[in-house]
Amino acid sequence: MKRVVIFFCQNLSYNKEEIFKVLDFPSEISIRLMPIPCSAEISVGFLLKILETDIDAIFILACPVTSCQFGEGSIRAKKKVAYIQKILDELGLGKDKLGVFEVDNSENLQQIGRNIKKRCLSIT
Amino acid sequence: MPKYHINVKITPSRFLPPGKYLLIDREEGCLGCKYCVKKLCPYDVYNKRKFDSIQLRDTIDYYCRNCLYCVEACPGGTISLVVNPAYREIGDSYWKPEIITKIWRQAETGMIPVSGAGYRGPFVGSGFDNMWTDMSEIVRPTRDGIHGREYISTDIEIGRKLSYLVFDAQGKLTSSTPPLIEIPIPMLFCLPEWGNWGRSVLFSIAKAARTLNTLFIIPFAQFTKDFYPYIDNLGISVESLEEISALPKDVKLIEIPYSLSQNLQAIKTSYPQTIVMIKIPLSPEAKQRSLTLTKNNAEVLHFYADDHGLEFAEKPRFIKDIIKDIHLSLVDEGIRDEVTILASGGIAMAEHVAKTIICGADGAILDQLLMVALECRLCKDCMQGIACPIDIENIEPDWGAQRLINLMNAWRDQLLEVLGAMGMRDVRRLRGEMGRAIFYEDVLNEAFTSIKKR
Repeated sequence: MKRVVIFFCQNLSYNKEEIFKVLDFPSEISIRLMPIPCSAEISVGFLLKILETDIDAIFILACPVTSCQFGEGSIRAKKKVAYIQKILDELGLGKDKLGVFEVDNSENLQQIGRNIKKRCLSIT
Repeated sequence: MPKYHINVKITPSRFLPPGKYLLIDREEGCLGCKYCVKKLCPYDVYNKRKFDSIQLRDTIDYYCRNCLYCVEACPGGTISLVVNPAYREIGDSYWKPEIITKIWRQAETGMIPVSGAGYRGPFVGSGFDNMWTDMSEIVRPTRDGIHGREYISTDIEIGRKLSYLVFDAQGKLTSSTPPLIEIPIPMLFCLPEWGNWGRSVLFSIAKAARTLNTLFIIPFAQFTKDFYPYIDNLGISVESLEEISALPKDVKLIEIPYSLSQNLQAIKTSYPQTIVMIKIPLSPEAKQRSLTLTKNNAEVLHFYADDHGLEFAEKPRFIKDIIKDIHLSLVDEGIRDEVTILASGGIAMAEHVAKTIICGADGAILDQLLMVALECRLCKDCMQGIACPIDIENIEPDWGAQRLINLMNAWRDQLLEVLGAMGMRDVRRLRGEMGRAIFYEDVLNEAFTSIKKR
């Protein structure tokens, strides 16, 4: 079973149950949804520490760059993720283990759900 | 009688609870100062922080004391403090995060939670918050605390009491005295209506009940041979008549649902030395039911509300208002002293026990609270088949029992404070003492009826 953690910004217009419902994961993926105050709150060290455990992948649901409440939270989150993806590539773990998505509306969220599922199932 | 004493032992939680505030360290924009504010933290939070690999979180929020030193002093302004979303997530609208964290602290230390910074909240709220208890007997700070004064008893008796005794011509007692259980705290334990609790949780509660010498009402389906050593502190809750015939003979208390109450006499004849408690949902009919049952020789009535202390009705009233109503109607009939009334549902703080007793109950039955003391987050994920985030099924029974004992010590101390402040020496005197409490509705009526009339 794949174990996935999804962090979501608390300023998104969806709450935990709604996200859980829209993402609609198959039973072979066990997910954990965790709220964070801002997508930029997640630090590089923290993400790497999580990848050290038996978690297979981490995804971050951030607000759109143009409507971040803190102005630059989503930009920072993207920068951090890109940095870690570089590290993961160097380590040979593959950058698919980590991703950040901007959530606009529910169709977009469904699209993200499909994308995450595809990426989870491709991880070996 | 020796003084009742509860032995407290500090029992740390297995999982660090989420803190109220979270430090956000943006990392970018760091000026690279020689003396970083993180090194100067008065609580050394930045050194203590660890990564919790089970909860997948940084434990900095637990250690942070919200002094804002780093936030103010960082020249780059890279650190900020926000409310932790994980903190807001625990509990619900009634079992607020503040209440839950207070319960955790009491279960850990066994001491009364003191916030120390004064009370900044509103003076009145809904539910238990719209009544105040009388504290008129506080005349000076106590020199040696609540335990140093004369002994305040928190004993209650469970069972039916005779209103008078009958003697024959020789002076011999002819009336038969019904069985009574005396417990040293006015609090009993039972399981909440929801949840899949493992055996170790049940053992924790049973052990705590034995140490505290109170009663734990266990469902018949969960009662197995392993629980025989605890039989003196167990009540068994049954659902049908077949289950009653399978009960052990030495059980102290049987709880039956209201639907079986017409079989009360039959049950009493087969179990003469066992107390039978009738479980009645709090609804508009509860008052009438309590009157009829008391006249029909019921011994103990257990009224239960939902987890938020609301009655089962379309326009629900709060538990304290209904208990008050029931108590007063029994007093009017002159039969209140014959029956024991216990109430459960929505009891989340120590003051709620005192307030329930003031409204007319003899004692309180604690349900969801016990699970919170065992670190339950009230996420109710177990109801959807998702694994428990704190793995409550596999707790150590000794650890769990000590948490409950600590909590009960903190609650008893708070009850003693209330009794001491009211100038009472016995919790049984507190029952129905509504004249010593102020109810918000009464205050409103007093202040505004004259205006309404005009």
